[in-house]
Amino acid sequence: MSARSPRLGIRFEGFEGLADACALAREAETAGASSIWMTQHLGGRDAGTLATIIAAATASIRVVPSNISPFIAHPTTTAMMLATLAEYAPGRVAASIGIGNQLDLGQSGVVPDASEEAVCDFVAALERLFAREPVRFSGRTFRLEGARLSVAGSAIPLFVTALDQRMARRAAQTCAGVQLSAGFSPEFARACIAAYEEGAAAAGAAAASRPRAGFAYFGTRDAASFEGVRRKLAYLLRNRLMAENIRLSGLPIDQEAIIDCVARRDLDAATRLVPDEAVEAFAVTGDTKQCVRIVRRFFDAGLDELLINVGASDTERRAAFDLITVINR
Amino acid sequence: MSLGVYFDGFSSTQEMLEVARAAEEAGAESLWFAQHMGFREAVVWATAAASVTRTVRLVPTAISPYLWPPLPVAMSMSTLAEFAGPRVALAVSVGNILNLGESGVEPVKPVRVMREYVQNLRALWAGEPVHFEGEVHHLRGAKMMFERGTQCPLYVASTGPQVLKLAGQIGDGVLLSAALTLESIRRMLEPVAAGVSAAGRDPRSVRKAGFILLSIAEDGGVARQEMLRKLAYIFRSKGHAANIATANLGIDHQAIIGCFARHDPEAAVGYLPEKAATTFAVAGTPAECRAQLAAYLTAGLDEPIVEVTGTPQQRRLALEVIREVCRDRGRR
Repeated sequence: MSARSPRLGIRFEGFEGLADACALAREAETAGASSIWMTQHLGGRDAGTLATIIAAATASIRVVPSNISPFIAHPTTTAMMLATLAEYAPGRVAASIGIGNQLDLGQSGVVPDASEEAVCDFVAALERLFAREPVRFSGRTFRLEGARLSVAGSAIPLFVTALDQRMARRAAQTCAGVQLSAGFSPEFARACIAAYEEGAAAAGAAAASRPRAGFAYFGTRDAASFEGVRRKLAYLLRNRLMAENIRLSGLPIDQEAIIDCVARRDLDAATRLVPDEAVEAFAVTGDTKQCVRIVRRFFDAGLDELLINVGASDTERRAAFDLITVINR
Repeated sequence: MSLGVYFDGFSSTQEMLEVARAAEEAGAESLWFAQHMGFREAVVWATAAASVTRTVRLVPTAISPYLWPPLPVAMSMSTLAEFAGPRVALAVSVGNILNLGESGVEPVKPVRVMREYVQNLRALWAGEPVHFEGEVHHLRGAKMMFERGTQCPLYVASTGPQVLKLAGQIGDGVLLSAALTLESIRRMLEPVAAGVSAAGRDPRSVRKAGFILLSIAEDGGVARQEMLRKLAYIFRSKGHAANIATANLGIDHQAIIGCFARHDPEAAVGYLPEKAATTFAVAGTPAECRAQLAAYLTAGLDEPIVEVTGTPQQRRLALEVIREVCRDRGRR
């Protein structure tokens, strides 16, 4: 278990308009959110630039560019970006490193081979660069021949993005915390955290003080909100790495059928294959009382920070910020 | 002619923000954020500066195609453009060979790679899926999901004749490095003009920008000595041989390179006569700097870009010179 007191924060996907994102960030800060994560989706808003904008629009909340892929970014330039951001917003910056979406990477001509090792190499290189010594290191996706970071800044906690237990176990062998993707049930989150702790124990590493975060979709009791979450989950569940997550939930979900529907670009049909129970298991939905209960289940599973998407409608957002206030109070 | 200010990424973010605000207030029309490997990242700085300025143009500078793939650069510039509006431009360049090497990168086929990079960035900003098999980067349906159709002006930075010609052919502007003599600036603009002509473009469609080193102090001798240190560091590169030759100052370039190879920068300074400070840069008292800057303003640049650095007093003096130059320009 982590020694931290669990907190709720929010997450942007990079597809929100900037004015909207800045307004949400300010509201989140006022509501007492722990941090704001910006997921890097190729073709969407750049997470580092967005984090700078959000840092400028807020006073103290932590900003976290997330899912930076070693298959697209270079450790030297990533270290420069994070160190510059940390100098601009001291003590408010963290980052997560993840493989990235295979389809998106393919569109940029990248085949992510040895992806777990590539992520861990990248994290190790960042840690060494942050020490501001010349770094010589051959990683799966880069080579450093004396590169050196010269920007002194505050510490920048790193996370590894994990979609399954295997990556969680491997993440523990770096110095990073772990960040679980959206669409996980609390049961699967528990299994991933257990894998992370096993990995740390196997490596002889002390992981108790390292942060464990997770993403989750959020919806209200409103039918449209609930259906919106169902649709997002349908898209997430197309990923074969979600098979174990589905299995552990015990729910009768036909993942192969979902994959077929998404491959045919028929997201409506895929959405119909996600039962109500799956929305309740893999996301945070309901009235405030129900949501508090679900969030607590994620915390009980070992997460110390849960990041929710606040939704599109005013009602959803109000409910999300109410939830944050209740949880973080 | 519009006067700009550049930052080299060596000072603190707080200092940059103070200078950015003051430079806009003094009349500077653009802020250029030069990115050196291992130092402050240009897009983060430009974004931070956007939050404290209103009208000044913001230009992350010398982004290298060898370390930044086109899609993430298109994403970050479009994010910045969404935040700052149309006052955003980008300068791209091959990058420093030594620094690229430290990050495990060899800049192969630079002219082709630069051409492809500019083409790819523009294609991505156009908003359609991009398919392109390039020398370094491959795009197989990559596309932007926001700000589609918003193009960002692209400057091509270089000192080499082939890339300078390419800048004239395809760039929205060209950016010349710092520490050039007036004669070097004129010579480097020749291949740009040749590129413009070869492409059948209107010469006015390619903006000509250049960095100008500035060292200012009430004691002109102090300012010139400080400038010699900067120049010695810059001249450690073999690429400055032709530029140094134009000065006719009898500078032993090989000796300077040798000093840096022996990690003896102080000795390198000894190979530079004091006149080098005012031949390759602007250095001296405020009055001397104004006079020297006037010569640079007539060297053929549309956008002379000066640095504002040093102690608070030196930065104040530099900003005062900028204010006066901009005021004089306004009167004309």
